[in-house]
Order: sequence, then structure tokens, then C-alpha cells
Amino acid sequence: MKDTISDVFAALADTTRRGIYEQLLDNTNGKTATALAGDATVSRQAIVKHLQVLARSGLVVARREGREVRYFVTPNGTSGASSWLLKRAEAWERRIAKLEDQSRATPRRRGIP
Amino acid sequence: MYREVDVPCDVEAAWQHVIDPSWLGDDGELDVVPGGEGWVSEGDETKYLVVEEVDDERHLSFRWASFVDAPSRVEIDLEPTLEGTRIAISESPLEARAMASLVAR
Repeated sequence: MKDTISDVFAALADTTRRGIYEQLLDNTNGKTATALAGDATVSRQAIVKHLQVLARSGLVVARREGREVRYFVTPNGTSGASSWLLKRAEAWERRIAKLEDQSRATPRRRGIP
Repeated sequence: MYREVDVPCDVEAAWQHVIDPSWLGDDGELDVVPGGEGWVSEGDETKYLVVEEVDDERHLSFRWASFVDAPSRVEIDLEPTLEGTRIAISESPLEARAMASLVAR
């Protein structure tokens, strides 16, 4: 089984890739690697490598339009990762609430400085 | 994941609550010694635990995983405060190396 959640977190762990992903989120018509490189301080070649990592994680998809390749964000690309985070956060909220309840039920020992 | 919670009991009592794994789910058992094993059930999911470090009334760490969840490490630190005890809990995934190799690719 492909571990998509790890791939998504790894893809977004890099600030340059996160920047590229944000730009693609803002452009519903997609962007070419050349256009992305024009706004960035890194080479077009580096941008292409970053786009490949984003594509492997399922966050973006490449589409050929005439002579150029445009990159688009995948709808719900982050949904697996975000529901994983949410599920974990909720589980810890429940556990900590239970620990607090149990601790409140124990009277504080007296006479401790 | 990192959380801190202040509880109104002393570290001795707080430690007893921490090492009873029932707070981690609906029910559970844990052999609180290094290498000790245990389980925690939550709904229809059961996590299996292996204790790593035990420092009485101060620190507990364990690894846990289930058939649906990747393994992670949980570290729990207790510290006395004026009001009671501060419990700091962190959970981190164990496949950090696999993620690092993916980033480097």
C-alpha cells in the first residue's frame, strides 16, 4: 500500500515546495515550471524536481496543453493528511480530558510545601 | 503533537494516573517496566504498546501502533508545580527516516 500521508507531509516539509504548492493553489488555471521559476530564486530545473515530488505525493498533477506542461493542484490532495492530523488531535483531546477527570478525583495531598 | 496539562494532584498521584493506561482509550493494561508490553482499546481499534523508559514520577515513554495506525513514540513528563503537577505529552511518528529519504530524493 502506498503511504500517501507520509508522502504528503514529506512533500510539504520543504519551504520551497510549500511555496510552489501555495502558488498553484492560487492559480486555478495552473502554472508551467517556467512561470513558477520566473517568480522564484531557484532554477527551472530545481522547480521541475520539486514539482515531481509534489506530483508523486498526489498533491499536484501535470497536464500537457499544446506545447507546454501545466501543473495544477489536485482537489482534496491534502484531505488524507488533514483528516489524519484531525483524528490524532481529537484522540489526544479525549485522552487528556480523561486524565484530567481522573486527577481531579484524587484529593491533593496536604502538608506538602 | 505536544500538549501540556496542569492537574490538581501531586506528582505521586498524577504518576499513578499516567501509568494506568485506561486514560489512553476505553480500557487497557500496561506492564510499566522498560520493555514491558501492554494494550489500549479505543472503539474497535486496539493499540499495542512497548514501554521504553520509566523514571518513576518523572518520565514515561513508550512506542505504540495498531493495525491501522503507523507506529509512534509517546513521551510523558511530569513536573511538580505550586498547584499540582504539569504533565507534558508528546507523540512523534517513528518513520522519520523513511520521510527524510523521500525528501532527499
